[in-house]
Amino acid sequence: MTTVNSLSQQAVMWVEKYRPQTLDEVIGNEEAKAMLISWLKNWKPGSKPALLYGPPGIGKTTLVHALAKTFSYDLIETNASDIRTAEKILHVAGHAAFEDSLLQHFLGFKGTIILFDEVDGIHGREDAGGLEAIIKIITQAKVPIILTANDVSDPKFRELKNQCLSIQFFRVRPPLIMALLERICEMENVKYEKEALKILAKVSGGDVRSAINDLQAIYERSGKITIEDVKVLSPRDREITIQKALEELFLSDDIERVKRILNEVNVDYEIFLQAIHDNLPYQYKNLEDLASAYDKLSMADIFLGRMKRTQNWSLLKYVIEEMSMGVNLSRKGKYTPIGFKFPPSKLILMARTKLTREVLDKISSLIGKQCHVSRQRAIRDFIPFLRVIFENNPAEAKKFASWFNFTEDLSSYLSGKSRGFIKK
Amino acid sequence: MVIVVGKKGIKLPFVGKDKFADLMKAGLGYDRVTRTFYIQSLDYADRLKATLSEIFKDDIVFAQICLICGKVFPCNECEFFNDCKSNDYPSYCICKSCIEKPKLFNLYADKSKKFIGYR
Repeated sequence: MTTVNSLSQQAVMWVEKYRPQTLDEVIGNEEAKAMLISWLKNWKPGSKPALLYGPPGIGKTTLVHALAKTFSYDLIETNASDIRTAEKILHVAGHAAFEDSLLQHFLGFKGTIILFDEVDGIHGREDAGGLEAIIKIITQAKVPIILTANDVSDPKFRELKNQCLSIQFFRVRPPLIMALLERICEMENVKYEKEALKILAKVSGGDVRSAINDLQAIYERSGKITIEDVKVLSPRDREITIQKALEELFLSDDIERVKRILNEVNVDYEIFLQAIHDNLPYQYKNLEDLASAYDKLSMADIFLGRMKRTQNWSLLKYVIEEMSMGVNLSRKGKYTPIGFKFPPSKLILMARTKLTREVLDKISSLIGKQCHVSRQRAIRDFIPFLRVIFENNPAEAKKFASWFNFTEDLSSYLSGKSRGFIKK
Repeated sequence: MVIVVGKKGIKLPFVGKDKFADLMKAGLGYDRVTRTFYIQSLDYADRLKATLSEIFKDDIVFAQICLICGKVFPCNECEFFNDCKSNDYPSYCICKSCIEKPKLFNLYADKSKKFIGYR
């Protein structure tokens, strides 16, 4: 590869050199920017926090940094993907949210902004009250709070959305990316063809960072930006579906690529693990390969469980490695891909049995109240016997139903009359 | 025929209670003073487009506004139409004639500053 620039020039990444410092340097999403500025200008204690949401790589976090800098605010940033538990969130952001910043007086800041980055990285149950802690902070905070997220469509974020001023962000449009690339070329004295910049903007998929990196890589390789130079680029698609990820996992010979795809896949790791589990017997016909792949997958499952239990998210890298390299390298022979099966069978089963599980939940809860036992124990130790009674002795069943406060539906389920119907 | 709809001042024929509720759920708002509809949220843009399409009995495209010259234009006029990941959302963009102007970024930054109310 020919290098045409000096070493010192190469050492500076353009993406860092041209990182937006002020609001007007952040390109795209004009209406969202205007809304955010107006929100900050009119902010007073008791105002709603701002929730910025939209796909990754479009400058939400950068915009908040530029906003704080432009309006002289001290920015306290917590990444919700790393700090997830209620205790940690309150420890990091709690004091700042409820008390005035000393820096405000010493360094001349107007105030403090708290940024909760990537709040959608918090999982309700596993992350021990993380979301509740954030909601608690935002409802009582005395400083402006901004939250960012990629996707808040999950119902668990409904309450958070209700508490916030939602500002939607979209992918940056290619004409704006092209204008930025043109400016960088002019600042760096790079010879370019406008059509080549258009191609770069097209393949960027709305990701400004990738477009700048592509531009720099091409310049360092050939010293100019022409149509011929950019032809080698393929379109970026950041939204990797589970189908695509499975395809790469089973087909690719490039381990690094498989790992990268798994890092970017737009699906919960537990669901992805389940999807691999369901597809393995169809994809790997050799029994030794299959056993080895399941072995690796079980290791990934162990790490995933341990990670959730201990909240030690550094274990995630082992989960990804076992799922990607482990499964991919287990295949020794030739491989013929066949269609992938999704959603995972466990999810289908859960959906099918949802009604039954709800009924069982109600019954066990009523048993628990009367007998002071856990729901789990009620299901294991009480329901099988109640079933026998309800199926064979209607008179006794009536007495039990009245004592446990079972409704007609619940009694009918236990007696087996509606069980088949509920299962469907 | 295709109907181009902007973000504000959307005039609709009488739609009835159910359709009105559908439109509100899909992200439309109603301004009682001007008696026009406006796009409040684009979370369900496809659903909104489908509902509007049912009302107008025609295809709907959202209008784009050129940040530089103010021209209103549909997305399919743009050469980036097939590659744009946010195409057909009613928003600000750069039209095909402005895209060829020299010093495009400076023009854009100037207009953007004015738009967001920060100087």
